[in-house]
Amino acid sequence: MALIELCNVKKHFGDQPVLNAVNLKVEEHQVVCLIGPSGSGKSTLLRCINGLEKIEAGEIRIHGNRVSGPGVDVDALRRDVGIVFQSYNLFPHMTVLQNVTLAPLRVLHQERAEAEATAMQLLKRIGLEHKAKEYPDRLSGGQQQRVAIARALAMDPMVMLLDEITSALDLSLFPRY
Amino acid sequence: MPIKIPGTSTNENSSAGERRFRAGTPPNTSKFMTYMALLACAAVVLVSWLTLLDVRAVLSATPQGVGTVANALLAASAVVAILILYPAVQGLRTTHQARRALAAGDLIAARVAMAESRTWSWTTLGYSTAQALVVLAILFLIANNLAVSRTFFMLPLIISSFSLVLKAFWINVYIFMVAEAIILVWGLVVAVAQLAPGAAGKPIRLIAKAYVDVFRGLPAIITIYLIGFGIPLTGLPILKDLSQQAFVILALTLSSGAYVAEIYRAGIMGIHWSQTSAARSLGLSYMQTLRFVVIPQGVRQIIPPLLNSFIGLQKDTALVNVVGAVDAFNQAMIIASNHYNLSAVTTVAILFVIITIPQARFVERLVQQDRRRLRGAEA
Repeated sequence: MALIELCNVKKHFGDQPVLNAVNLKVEEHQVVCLIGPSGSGKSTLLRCINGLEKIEAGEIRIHGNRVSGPGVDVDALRRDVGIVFQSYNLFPHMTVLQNVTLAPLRVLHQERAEAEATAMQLLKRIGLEHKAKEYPDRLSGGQQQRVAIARALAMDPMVMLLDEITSALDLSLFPRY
Repeated sequence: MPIKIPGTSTNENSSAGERRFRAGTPPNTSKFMTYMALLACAAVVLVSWLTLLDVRAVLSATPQGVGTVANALLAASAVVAILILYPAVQGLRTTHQARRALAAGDLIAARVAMAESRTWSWTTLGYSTAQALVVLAILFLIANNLAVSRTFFMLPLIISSFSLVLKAFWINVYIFMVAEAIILVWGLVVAVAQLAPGAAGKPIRLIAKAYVDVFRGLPAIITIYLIGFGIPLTGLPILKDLSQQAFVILALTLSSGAYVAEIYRAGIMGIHWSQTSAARSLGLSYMQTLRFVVIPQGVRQIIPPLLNSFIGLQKDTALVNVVGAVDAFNQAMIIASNHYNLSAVTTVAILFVIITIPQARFVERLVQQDRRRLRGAEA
């Protein structure tokens, strides 16, 4: 069974069609890259998969379960489907550590010590453990993007949706992931 | 001159001559500004001195006469009044310096001197304007043989009535402190209710909107009057037995709460939707997103307007005299009618102003500290 399945997904903003009958199958452990010109709907497609945008027609399934349309517990869906945004969207009023631990603490109800230990491990992996107490506005674009990745990974998702994930990352960092 | 892009025009480059940078133009060393500043400040100094002579004349006509202290103060003021001539003279000096430098062909020195001269001239004009306004205020105070000062600033009455007025002022302080504490929570509740999502939230949205529309439109004085006199008349159990202060606090909370709810709402709506996206994408619920992500950021934005609103509320506590509460203003009015003099009301006015100033400074510092913490050192 495919991990993610999109059947005939349609989405438009006003009169403008963005996704026109998109079909896609992603298997487990498969890495799929969406490539297309600016404004072609790549980000919208990702936002549809974790329910941040509603689709008008078609169906999205994860592990065979329909996750589009009414009656879906989007909060439960999003716990397993992480997304890293093109513009990172870190929470500017929280430190790096607070950014990464917010969801594990409040959604997964982990103990603070446990959440912070996991977060520090993740930050170490991306080489930012020394920035744990800093606020996002003091980080460079690339550092912010790495924190956004750590924040999504902290929920231990089964699927990761990465929007323009290398836009601000240095080539020398790639072997880390 | 239109901006030319190299290679776009084929014949212009060679025939029309080369473009030059205009940064090498000599500075304008006209003396007009300098002389204007000098003239203006000389006029202000003259008027200042005439006014000080006037003050002396008026004082010597009073039974106490002009004391040594007053004489010394007047002399000191006369000296201070001519200080604005200093920047004017400096302006003149630097203008001449610039002209000399230009004549000698030193473009850089001329520019520096002229820039200094302009700064001196503007400084002169700024201080002259301020001094002229102060002089005007003094003229108003001594007008009609000191009648203005005597009506508003009769020192003996201010001193003798001060403790009475101050005691009554605590009523105002008590009312606004309690009201502000309630409003901080109440405003947020109303704001969140106004933003209640979905079809289920619609009735909540409507009722919250209706509350805001009604109490924001209603003059505070009418709200106080209706609640302060009305509720006791209704004879409702419990409610009718509340103290007069409780009614006033209730009225002010309802009235100011509507404004504060709108401020909170603006703060919440001012947070970019991408923040909500990020929080929801991590699995946080609607309420969790509001609580941990949107409201903490929104509140930071609204602290200055919130203070504005609270200062407005503090001033509105002077309206409680319509239901007969003896607050500072009411007390001062009683004193004013007993002595046929408004100086006690001046005391209240000064008290109201004095309490707002430290609040404003405190909030400014709070906002600055928070900004420094969240942003780089340069912010």
